[in-house]
Amino acid sequence: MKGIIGTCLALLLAAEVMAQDNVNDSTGLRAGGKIYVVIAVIAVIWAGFGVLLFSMDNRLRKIEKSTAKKIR
Amino acid sequence: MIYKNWWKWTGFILVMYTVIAGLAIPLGPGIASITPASTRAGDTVRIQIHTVNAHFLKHPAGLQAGLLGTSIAIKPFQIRSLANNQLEAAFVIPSALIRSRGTVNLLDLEVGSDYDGMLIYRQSLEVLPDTVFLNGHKSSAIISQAKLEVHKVTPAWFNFPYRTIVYESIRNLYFHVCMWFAMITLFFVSVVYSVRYLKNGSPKDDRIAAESINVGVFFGILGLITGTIWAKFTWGDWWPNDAKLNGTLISMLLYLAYIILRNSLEEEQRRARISAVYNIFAFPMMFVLIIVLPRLTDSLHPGNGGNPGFSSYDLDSHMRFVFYPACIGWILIAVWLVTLRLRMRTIEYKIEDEI
Repeated sequence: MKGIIGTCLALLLAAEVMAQDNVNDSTGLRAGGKIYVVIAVIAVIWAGFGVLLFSMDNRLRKIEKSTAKKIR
Repeated sequence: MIYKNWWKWTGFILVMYTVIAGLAIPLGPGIASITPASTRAGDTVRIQIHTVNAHFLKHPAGLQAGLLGTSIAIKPFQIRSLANNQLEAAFVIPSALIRSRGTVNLLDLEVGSDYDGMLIYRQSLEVLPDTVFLNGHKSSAIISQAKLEVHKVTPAWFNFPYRTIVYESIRNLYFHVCMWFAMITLFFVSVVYSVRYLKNGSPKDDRIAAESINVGVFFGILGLITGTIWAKFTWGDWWPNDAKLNGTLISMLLYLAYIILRNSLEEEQRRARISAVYNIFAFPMMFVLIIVLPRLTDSLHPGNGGNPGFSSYDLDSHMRFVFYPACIGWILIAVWLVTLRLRMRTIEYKIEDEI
């Protein structure tokens, strides 16, 4: 009994998911052929690069302060 | 007091803007295909027009179409939008279009609306001769000698140009081309500091010159790789033996030779002087190879074979909104990388001195 009800629920959910076939009907991040997913991915990558660059910057600053000798 | 790292944040934010705006702003509308692509003179034909990035159902105001040939324009007797990107236009093709038995006429299809502007698909409809050859008879009505009334040529919404062959990869402008701009800027900075070194003899100037070239070569290699990928899928070849490509490859070899030259000389002053002199020769050579020579010959690259790439013929004005900030952003990032490397080198030298 539980198995039958569970299967019916699963099939109903599956039917709902199939409504997202048409790319152009999608909303939110799925809209526009999922280009926004691409943008999100690349923005995350670039933010990661930003973190890397700024952290390198700060570590160098610390080392420079600790060596504390002036260059010509 | 000005915040010392403001330019680093500016560079980072500008590149982030480039990524988001460069990818999110949609391409303009264009005609992808039509069915049928072939018809006979004298027929009534219902053409299904498949477009991309258009809004003909949502904004149908001013919807119009036309088949254009030399000094002829045929208007549809019916046009309607079935979906945002699908139109149906019904034309009567006059029999007199084909004047002699052997000819085939290729007509341009123009479609447009107030919101999406005018789209043109050149030489899209093939008109075959009538089964009965009519000698100079003008058939009924729908030939118009006038051109289509064009209300708006460009779309009413902000978009990047839709170009066949490149399509979405036109966005590479903000990444591939910016690599080269960053490289040339760094090489220019480098040669300025090489000249300064020869005048002052300060080792700091020599270090700046060297690190600028190191990072510049890195950007150049990125530019070559990204350009190769782009070329394969638009020009059809990984390396089409284009003047600009060959010029940039030789320039990269020139600057790689600079790096090898520096590595081969041990003594600091000698190394600095010789590499500074080499740099002063290398920069004009690079400039000629990359910028001057490609303009004197035929080239696949936009902006070469005559005109510089900044004119309105080569760069759409909408793209400039992202291209200029992108160049500045990438150049700032490149300069930041140079300063990071310089600081690392300086610390290395100081530690060496202490040993």
